[in-house]
Amino acid sequence: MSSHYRIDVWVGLGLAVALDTAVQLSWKSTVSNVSTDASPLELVRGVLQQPLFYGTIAMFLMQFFNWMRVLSKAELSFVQPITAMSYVSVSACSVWLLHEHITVLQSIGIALILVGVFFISQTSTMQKEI
Amino acid sequence: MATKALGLIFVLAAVIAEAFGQLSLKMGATSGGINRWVAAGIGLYTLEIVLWTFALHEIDVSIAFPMSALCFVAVAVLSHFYLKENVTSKRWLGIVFIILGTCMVGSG
Repeated sequence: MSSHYRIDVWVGLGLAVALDTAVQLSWKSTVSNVSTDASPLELVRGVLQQPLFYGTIAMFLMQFFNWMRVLSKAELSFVQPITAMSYVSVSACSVWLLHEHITVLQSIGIALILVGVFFISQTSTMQKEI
Repeated sequence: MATKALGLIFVLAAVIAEAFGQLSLKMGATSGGINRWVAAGIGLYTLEIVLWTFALHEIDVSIAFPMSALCFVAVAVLSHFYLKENVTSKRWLGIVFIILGTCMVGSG
């Protein structure tokens, strides 16, 4: 099924997962720079004062335009399960770069979520054939 | 433990805000042009950004992000009841897997 998609679709999908991962990790890093005792207002103010937050927003916008470009070239039911790989990449990179901890139970849970996304994507009927 | 529970509540609130945001944009898109539904959708997405920031302040992103898949569940339920869209048995099966998975991620 996937063989008829051009290389730029695959590049777009790789970029989508990478940007999704980068957005979540930089968002978490931004929030982590604010004191854990901060009130909601102090948290929002603290986040808005960090340059990293604006980098996160820039990546978020890049992600949006990249996703629209991917959707214009491929079926939603094909691309959605692939981008669900970001559930794995975000968790793996948060362990690697942010030193978070994931239990075996949580890993199994992420696998079940991937299976669920796969089933849901199989029922999509709204996208036109390319 | 209370911090984690608070974080999970913020994740659920962000998911609900995004689901209603998508519902609003869908209703706005079918109405045509920029209208109150589109404005509501943009407002709800802004609210989601704030709620997600609060969630990440309380819990690890390795827990919060996989749980955001609950949005698939919320959108399916809202689409079924508000837009009268057909949700197939295969989609309900996917929803069950996502709910099971998020419960395991949240409790792990």
